[in-house]
Amino acid sequence: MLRRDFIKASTLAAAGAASEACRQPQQILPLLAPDPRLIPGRPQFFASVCRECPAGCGLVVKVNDGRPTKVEGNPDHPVNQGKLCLRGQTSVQGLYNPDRFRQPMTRTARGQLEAIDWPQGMARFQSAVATAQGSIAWVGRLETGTLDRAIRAWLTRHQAPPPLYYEHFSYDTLRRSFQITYGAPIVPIFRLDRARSLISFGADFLETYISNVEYAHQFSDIHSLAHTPTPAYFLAVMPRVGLTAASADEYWPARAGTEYLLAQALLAVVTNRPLPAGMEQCEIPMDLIERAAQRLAENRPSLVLGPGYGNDSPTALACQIAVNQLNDALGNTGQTVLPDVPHALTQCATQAEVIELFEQRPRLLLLHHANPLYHHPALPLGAPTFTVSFASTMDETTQRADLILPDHDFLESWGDYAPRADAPGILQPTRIPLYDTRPTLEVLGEKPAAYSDQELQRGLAAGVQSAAVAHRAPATPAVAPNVSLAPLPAGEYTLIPFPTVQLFDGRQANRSWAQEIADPMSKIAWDGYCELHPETAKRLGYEPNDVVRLRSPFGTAELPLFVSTWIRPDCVGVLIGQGHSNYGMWANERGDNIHRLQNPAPLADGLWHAASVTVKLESTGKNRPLANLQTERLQRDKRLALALSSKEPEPPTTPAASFYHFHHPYVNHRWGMAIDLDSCIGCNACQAACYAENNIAIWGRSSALSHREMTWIRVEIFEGDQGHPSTELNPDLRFLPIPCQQCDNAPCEYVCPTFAAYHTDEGLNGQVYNRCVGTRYCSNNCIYKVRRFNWYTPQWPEPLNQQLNPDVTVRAKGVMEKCTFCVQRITQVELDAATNQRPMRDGDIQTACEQTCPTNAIVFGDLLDPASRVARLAADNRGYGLFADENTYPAVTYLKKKARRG
Amino acid sequence: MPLRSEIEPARFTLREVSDEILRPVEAPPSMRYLLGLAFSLLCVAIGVAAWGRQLYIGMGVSGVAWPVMWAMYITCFVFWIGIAHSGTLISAILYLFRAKFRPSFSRASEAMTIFAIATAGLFPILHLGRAWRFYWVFPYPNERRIWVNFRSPLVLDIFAISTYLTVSLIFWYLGMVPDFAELRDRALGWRRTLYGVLSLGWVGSLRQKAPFLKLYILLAGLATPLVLSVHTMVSWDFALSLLPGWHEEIFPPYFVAGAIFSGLAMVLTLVIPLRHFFHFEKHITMDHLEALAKLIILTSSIVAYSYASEYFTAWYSGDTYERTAYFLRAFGHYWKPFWLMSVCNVLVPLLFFFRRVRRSLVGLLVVSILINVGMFLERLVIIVTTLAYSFDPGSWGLWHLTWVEAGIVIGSFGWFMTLFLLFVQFAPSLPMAEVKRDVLEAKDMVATLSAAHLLSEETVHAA
Amino acid sequence: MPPDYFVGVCASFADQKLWRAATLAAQDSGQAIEAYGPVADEATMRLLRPHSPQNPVRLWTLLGGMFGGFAAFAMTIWMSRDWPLVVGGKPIVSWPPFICICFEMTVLFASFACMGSFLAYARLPQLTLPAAYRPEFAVDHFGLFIACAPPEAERWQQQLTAEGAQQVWRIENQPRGRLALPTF
Repeated sequence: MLRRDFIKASTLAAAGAASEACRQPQQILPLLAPDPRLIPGRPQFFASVCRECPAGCGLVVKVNDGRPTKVEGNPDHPVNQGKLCLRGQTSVQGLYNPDRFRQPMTRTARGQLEAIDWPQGMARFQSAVATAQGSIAWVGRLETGTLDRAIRAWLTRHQAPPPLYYEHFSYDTLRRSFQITYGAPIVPIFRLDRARSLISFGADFLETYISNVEYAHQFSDIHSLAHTPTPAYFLAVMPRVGLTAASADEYWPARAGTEYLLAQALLAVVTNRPLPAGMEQCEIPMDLIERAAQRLAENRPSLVLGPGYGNDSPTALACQIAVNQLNDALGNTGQTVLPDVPHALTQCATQAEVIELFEQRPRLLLLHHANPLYHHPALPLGAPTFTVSFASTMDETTQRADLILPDHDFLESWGDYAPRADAPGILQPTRIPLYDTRPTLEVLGEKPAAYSDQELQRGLAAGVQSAAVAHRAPATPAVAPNVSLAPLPAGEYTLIPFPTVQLFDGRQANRSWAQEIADPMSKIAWDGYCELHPETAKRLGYEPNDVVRLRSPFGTAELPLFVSTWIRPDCVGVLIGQGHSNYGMWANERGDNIHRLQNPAPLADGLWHAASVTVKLESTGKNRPLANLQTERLQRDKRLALALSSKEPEPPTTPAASFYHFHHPYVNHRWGMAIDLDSCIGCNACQAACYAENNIAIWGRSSALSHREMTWIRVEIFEGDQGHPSTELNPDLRFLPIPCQQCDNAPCEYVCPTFAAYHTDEGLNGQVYNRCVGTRYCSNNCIYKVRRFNWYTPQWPEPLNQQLNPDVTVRAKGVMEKCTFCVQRITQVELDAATNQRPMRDGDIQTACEQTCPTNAIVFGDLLDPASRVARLAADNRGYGLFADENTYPAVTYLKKKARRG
Repeated sequence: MPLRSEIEPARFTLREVSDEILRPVEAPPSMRYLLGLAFSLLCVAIGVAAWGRQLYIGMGVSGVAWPVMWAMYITCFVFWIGIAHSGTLISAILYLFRAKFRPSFSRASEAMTIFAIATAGLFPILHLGRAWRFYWVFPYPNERRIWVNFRSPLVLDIFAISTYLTVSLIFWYLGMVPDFAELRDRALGWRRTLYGVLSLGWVGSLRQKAPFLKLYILLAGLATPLVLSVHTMVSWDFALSLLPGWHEEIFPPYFVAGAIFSGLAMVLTLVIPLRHFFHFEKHITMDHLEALAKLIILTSSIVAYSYASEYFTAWYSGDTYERTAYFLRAFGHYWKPFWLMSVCNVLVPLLFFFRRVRRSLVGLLVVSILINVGMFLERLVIIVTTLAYSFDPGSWGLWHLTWVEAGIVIGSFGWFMTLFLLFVQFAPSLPMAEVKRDVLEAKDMVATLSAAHLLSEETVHAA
Repeated sequence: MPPDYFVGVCASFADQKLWRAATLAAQDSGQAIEAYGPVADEATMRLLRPHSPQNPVRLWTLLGGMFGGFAAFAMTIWMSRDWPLVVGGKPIVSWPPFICICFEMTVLFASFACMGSFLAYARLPQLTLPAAYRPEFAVDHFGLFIACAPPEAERWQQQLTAEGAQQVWRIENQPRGRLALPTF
């Protein structure tokens, strides 16, 4: 059976059971007649839905002998189409998080947490509910479907207000603007895949904005030369270059808070109206604005996105309204902006609502996988409120709870989640619960209303529901709110709290992969930091790694300094998601909680804004080295990440002289890879997939400080080259994923005294771990530096060891390891093909990095098969080999990035 | 006119020679000696502790880290192999050239060679990630018939170094056999047993001497190309790689010259205290030391030329990786060791152009120690800067010394000093038979010259 | 091969020149002799003509070296073909690096052969020292032993004294000299 069929079958099977089973099995009976699909040693695959963020991507969970070991994107899921981001890849680490609660806990009279059993816990819970007398508040992560219905029903039964679904990225400004412009306060669906030109005024749609995997996929469809012959134009307007702006064709470092002026100006140019006043504040030349407007108008449909979290300034609402009007004026409404198709995020509480709720001091607060006190540290919590948390692990809010009734991890649970109406998904348990936890639904004792057959048919069997929605005419032309931008006080800097694709709002901070894999832009691992422009740092006399105190009117934070060219000199960027005080072994004590700097109260427009403060910088005299895994960003004149505009030496006309005349006797296969630099957005999902697939060790911060990270595929970031240098308006940042190049003439191989490194007859640079004595010469001689050495005995704290892939050896101390092109997957497919006596087809083998790549930048296949995708890409005129002039004959072909249009 | 140092030995009787050379061996060890030995053993203990920690925890406790996978250990390896070079060079090449000042240094420098190889040989083992599997690099017969990779420079190294150690040991030991015979005749008790075994029953008969002389000259002839080949192969550890800064044709002669240079300096560093503490001033004269200083000037200029040539080649090739590597070697993170090395190896030896420095014990000792420091740094600079700044700027990274690494280096010096101190206590530090031959020849010469009235009264009287 | 001399006359010289002359004279007379001394100078060696006209050490060294070289070539090629892994895009038998191993093995085996043949021809190691040997021969005296029948001993004694020997003595009925090692 094909895996695809199996997924369908298991999804249907799950659907049948979804209304019924929410309990863990009380007894395990051996199978009298074993399921024929259960073959010992062969993994099973279960479809589920990722709950790491509200995007709701479809998952396929690989289960080895009852242990989920890896998650991959579900190819049939409409949101992510088989792809997954780094956060999704880490969900198995959430399941096996060593800091998970083992059983219910309660707070004793002395204020200590004490383990109790479930009957005691349930008794306490019920008495708390009884004494609350309807003053009950539910603050939980966003839920749809069954659990949503159950929670609402339970709250209604207890005369409590409806639940507040707490997501820190709740798009309050976006929803308010849609209320104003379109008449409905929704988080809409954006269709990047239809756009032919694209402007983002700060929305980091490749990182955290609404549904980043989906958007990355769609973005590469319209923007990458690999997927379209006419790439769309993308302009990013934001005060700091993040991962999203790094992929832009043009970048405007507009002054923070002036984005609304630029949006209004574009609107004015497009609709031939007079320009708004005060344009000089933006610091963007008028001709650029006109050119951008022209491009928008010429390349329709287009899509303009409003501010994201990092520039959610007091003027963000004005900006978002102008953006909506611009979209409408360009005829994008109904095309690329679907204001009638709400995303599930629409149901979230706004931050203002949550703040208000806490200030009301309800008698009973129920926390369900929500950590509002991390994002709003000033919120009051404690007596008289009795707090019950259903969290799986300790966090900043749960640590103040009076009763902890731990929920299953989502990989252990039944459930359903639909990020939007056309993408419903069923969660099914992939293993027996690890610990003595109970699903919250069971704790509530609520029997959810069953789905109707029609709902099941429509939502599950058909898979994709038609999203055609009639376009509703916008409400009356919205009036832009009357905002004015105050000048920046002297000696103060605009605070840019930027989220990243790895840590999201901080909930992935206790995943060792999310910490160990360096941030895609700064390449810093294991730490929170603040970011300053070198000019500013120099003026203030700060050196990199100096700990700087940021003082806002609301609080202070001390963070080590990272100096980056790609932030405005009048801004200070701070990474969010670090600085946890009580979130587990890997998350604690990494920088400071920067949310203390933010304004704890909503502003005059009734909205809570993330980036509404300016901060003063003070020296602390302290120093904290940051684990920066790539300190050099300049390509100099090295031929690394090339673009079509790069200046290049002429290729040699004669093959390089060699001492030997040897040809590799490849008969069956010669495995190769093609990596498209034009598609790669640098999101690091490939690294996380590789960690999960290949049992790669984690050593922690102190080792990362000395460059002892173990990643088999590192993604490097470079600025433009000599043919096309980076400029302020054109960062031209290039991401260069470097796995082992599996060279034909591999420099690593011949230096090994014991033949631990050798060349297989399918073209791989085999590494025989058992034969390695650890001279490390191979790594020295590898010109790509892709070999990794086991400095210590790898450790996986219980129960993380259960995540290990049984098909891959765990390497011992003192042994060299490296990318194998997922040789275990190659072998598995080869064996299956031989068993079933059928030929292998191109695409049957997917390496872990290729499988998860949201933009399909990585293609793996057989170079001997001229019809394979990789063979065709190897012959592409954009193709080049990294350091090919060193005579290594690498098997990885890189495809040049397109020339920037700037 | 003969050199003063050539006729000076005529003053001694043969018995005086024996008594003076054997005095340190036969006398009980002094307190100073015991303190020195204790200090050396303490250093060894530090090294053992550091290595134990490294074995137990993993290579992570050393400073090596991606991408600088080799650092102090391989630096020490090359350094000690370099030291090992001039021992056999002095002994074998000077023997072939019949150099008059050979006997003053040959025994000590041969011992230095053996101990330096024994020290160097530790490093390839203790730098391994899995040191307990070190024997896998030898082509030993095994049931699975897995052999070693003869294309690997490391395997070439193993052959070169084990051959060098074996041949040097034979050369050193057989050269000592006549002296052991004399010790045997003078010794009592367990020392007589020891030297009786070591002397193999040597009596200095014609039947023994005739093949012995043949053996000695043949071994000298075999050892000379061996000396050159060993450091050539050590240099190929680097030159056979692909890295800018390592992949260079000039490496074999450059490394050989550097090895001899550092070895000569080490001989001076060891012989000057030896001469002082054991009162060998009569046998190791200022003329002898000056001759070494002159050799150091020669080898230093070869090394200086190599440095310049490396930079010229990097510039002239136009290769961006080469140029970057060499630029950053001088101006990158490791600029301090680079410039210190350049001063110590190129400028400081120029002091030997001054006769006053050449003939001053303090001057010789200071310069030789500085050269040792410089040559140690040279290996560190070559290894670390090359690995730190290779092809891809995204993969650049640095190495920092840790105490474990430093402890092992200290241990290696302690190990070497321990062996050397044991040697001077148990074996004659000068080749007595050869010193005696020179004494007899000097006496002959004085006789001949004074018969022809070519020598001053004073000289004859002194003789 | 020289005879084993158990009986004869032994002389001790303080002066190398006198000893050399006496030894030459004894050698010219055709008598079986053995000479001792603390120095091994080639001049004397040349004059005294070693016992065997062709010194075998050189030949053995050459043979040992040749054996080592060929053995190394055979070893490297056989082992490479016996465990034939392709590395670095080089053929299984990549002879250039093998030459290095050949060179080292040549030197190694030549040295072994050199040492072995030396020990064999010098009859080393010996557990006993010749009766004629005296410790001062290793320090500052030169010894000459002339094997002779007891009737001729008197004549040789006189001649040696005349030639400047410091001391002359007879060695009789001692099948072997004293042990090199003390007995316990």
